[in-house]
Amino acid sequence: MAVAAVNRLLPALLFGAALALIATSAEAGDKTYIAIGDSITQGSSHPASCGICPVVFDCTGGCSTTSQTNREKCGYVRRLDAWLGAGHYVRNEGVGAEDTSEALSRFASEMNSNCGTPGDCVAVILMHGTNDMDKASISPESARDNMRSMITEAKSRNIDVLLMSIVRRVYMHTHTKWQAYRDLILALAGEQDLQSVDPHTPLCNNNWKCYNDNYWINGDTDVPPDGIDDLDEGPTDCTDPGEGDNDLGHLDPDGYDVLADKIKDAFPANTPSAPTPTTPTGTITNTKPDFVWSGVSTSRWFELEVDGTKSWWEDAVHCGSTCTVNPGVTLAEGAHTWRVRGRNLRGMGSWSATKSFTVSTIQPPIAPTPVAPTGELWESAPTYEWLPVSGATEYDLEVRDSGGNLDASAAALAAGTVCTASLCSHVEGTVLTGTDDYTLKVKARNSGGDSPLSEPGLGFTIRDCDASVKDLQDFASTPVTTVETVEHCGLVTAATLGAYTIDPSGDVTIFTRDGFAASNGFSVNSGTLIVISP
Amino acid sequence: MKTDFSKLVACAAFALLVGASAADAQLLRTVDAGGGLYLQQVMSRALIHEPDGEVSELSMPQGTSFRRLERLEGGWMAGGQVDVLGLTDIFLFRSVDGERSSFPAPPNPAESPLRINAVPLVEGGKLKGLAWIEGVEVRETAVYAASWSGTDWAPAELVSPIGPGTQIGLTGTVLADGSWLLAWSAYDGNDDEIVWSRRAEGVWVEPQPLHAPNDQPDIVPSVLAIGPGALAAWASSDGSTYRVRLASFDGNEWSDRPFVGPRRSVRPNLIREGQGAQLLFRTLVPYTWTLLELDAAGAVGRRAEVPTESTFQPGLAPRPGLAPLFEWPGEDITVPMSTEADWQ
Repeated sequence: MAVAAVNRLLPALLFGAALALIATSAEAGDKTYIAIGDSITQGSSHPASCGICPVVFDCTGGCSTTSQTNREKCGYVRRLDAWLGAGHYVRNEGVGAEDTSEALSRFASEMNSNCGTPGDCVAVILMHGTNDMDKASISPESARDNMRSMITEAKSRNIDVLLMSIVRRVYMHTHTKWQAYRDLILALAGEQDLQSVDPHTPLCNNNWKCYNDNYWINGDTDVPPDGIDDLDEGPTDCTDPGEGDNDLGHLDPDGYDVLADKIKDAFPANTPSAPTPTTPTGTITNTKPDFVWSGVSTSRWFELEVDGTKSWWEDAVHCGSTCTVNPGVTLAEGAHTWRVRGRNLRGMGSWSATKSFTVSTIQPPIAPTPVAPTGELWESAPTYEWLPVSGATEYDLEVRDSGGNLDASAAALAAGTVCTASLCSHVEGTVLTGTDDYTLKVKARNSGGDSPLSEPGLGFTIRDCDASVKDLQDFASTPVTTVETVEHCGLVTAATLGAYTIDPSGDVTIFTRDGFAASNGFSVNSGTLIVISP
Repeated sequence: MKTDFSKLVACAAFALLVGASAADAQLLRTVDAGGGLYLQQVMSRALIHEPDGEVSELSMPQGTSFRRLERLEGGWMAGGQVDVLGLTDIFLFRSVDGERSSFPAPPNPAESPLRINAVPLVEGGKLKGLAWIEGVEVRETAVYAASWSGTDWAPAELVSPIGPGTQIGLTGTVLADGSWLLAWSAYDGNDDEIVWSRRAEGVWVEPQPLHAPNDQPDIVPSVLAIGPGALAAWASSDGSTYRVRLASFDGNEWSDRPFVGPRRSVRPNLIREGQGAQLLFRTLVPYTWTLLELDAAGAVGRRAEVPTESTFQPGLAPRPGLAPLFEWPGEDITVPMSTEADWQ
């Protein structure tokens, strides 16, 4: 066996080096996509015009057997890169004949090389498994497990994965073998909540045979699709490309067009719109707050930025209509800002509006204790009283009826009452509605937040006048002379009271709200509630 | 490895040439490293490289791929499979005293649509049997074997019934006592593990794990009879990469040895070398093919490495007593490219 001569190899070496210098490369700020796969990703093809048997690359319509760098321009990668246009760079990391164990073993290194700076890489386009099937004798389960490990690695780097099912290679793959791998790959996409691309339908019309206009097949003349290929007419002479250099079933240029078009379908038309940040806002005491935003439907990942310097990436897989994320990082006391933006296969969307919040570790006050009113009241606008608590700067009152409903006036009820006295009070101008049992609760507030509401609350009862009983005025003209069940409540003035005639012989007791009682000849102050009871 | 300029140029050129043309190719050798016999498959072509340097092309059906090459008395046998009209079946090719022809596969009374991983079992240069994987589809397969009388195949023997998932990567060897040893990867419902079985006096033992169970794939085993026992090598995943492991069989039980390959090592292949063995495997990043010397117990001796991105498994030229010569298909695939690597 001959050992290769250096003088024969050197020109090829130099040619390869020259191509490497002019190879496509990413520009700073480009959205980068890493295409990981085998010969299909690499862009292997077999144009008959090249007239040689080993794999050549359909890069520019010409033939090449020597340049790894040319793969940058080959197959679906070239087509996708051109379609995405400026600002995008699809890097071809396809390696012919590679199986998933090899792909996994180099995967982290490829990520380190190409995606070292967070945010550099948008997605990995992963298409593998073909060579596991026959060449490597790796089971579909292990092929799936290897791909799952690659997906896990990509996700750990905040990189999305577009998962491709394998392209069936005519002549190589019987339908049942191919389908075993394809099914598990598509199931993996579902398990990992990934976008997937299954090119089988456009390439093969979802039939076990494949269009011969998409593959290099025996004597390929690139005829229009007829839904069936000549699988049983294999190549007979490798040295004659017109009669069969195509037995590996690699795609021809039309096939790569079809494949690229199918991948393009997975790309949304636009980058995500800006999310709407919700919380945190205002003052919070939690130094590790949740960040919540909405408007997430077209995003697959989010970048959360806090204070313009720190950012976290979040897979949108758990997000519904809103996304809740806790970066778990302790924020210092003081003012902070945050914003968020989405990312899909098209790249980063616009930033949201910036939200501000303040972290304060001052503890909220304890719950105050209400002390009044209690018992029965014959008035509907009581005075509320409570004991102040240390550190409180303001108080809110809450009054609920027996049904647990907030009183209609509760929204305005003493919200933000300031109290520096030893006993706090508030007279509500709005009357409570109707006879009922009520509960008063109070909460205090400071810059650290709100106290709990006082529990169990202070109960009191509002009594109202019964319209069916006689009014005081009724007694003015018809003095009460007999014991009868009468009851009256209402505000009377001294002036009006003076006109009343109450028969002293009648067994009648007059009560004031203060418990004052007299059988006759009493005096009250203006506005006193008088209850006349037998 | 020597670092003279000519070798560096040669290695770099291999990377360019082989990398560009390696999309679908493989190279099979017999388990005897010094035999100088190997079968090179590049796309549809299968070339047999004879020990005397002669290279010739095999005529085979469309869709054929070979996986095993065994030396026979006066020739060799290649085992593979052929895909035709939606079915995959065993394909055997034999060369004896210069006469080359396809060799009949064991009967397929069940008309199974899938029979793959044919492993010829050869003892003393004579074909003794064949083992293979068979099923209706890839994930419902069983392991079978049949003995060869010299003129006919005996009825197939069930080695391992259909399990919870795929059984694949079958390999085998004939031990010194004439018993047959098989190993393969079997999905246990959680991941692939390497399992083995042995046929002694016509009876197969129930398949058993070759290593302690784990939660990540163990794949692509290679076994080699050595002394009274055997060695087995395979690739074991830790979830982020693969690493080549080794175990030795004393005739009764396996002893799991430490990892012999570095992180990112794959595709192990055991080769007989004199009274010992060699282990060839690929390492990714940096890309190398590595050859390890092993003694009968699997202890690692010298190491030789060739840096190359080639995915081809290299051939090893017969060079008794000399540094290993790794060979790959060249620009002209009938003329191998070679590079020498010193033992370290």
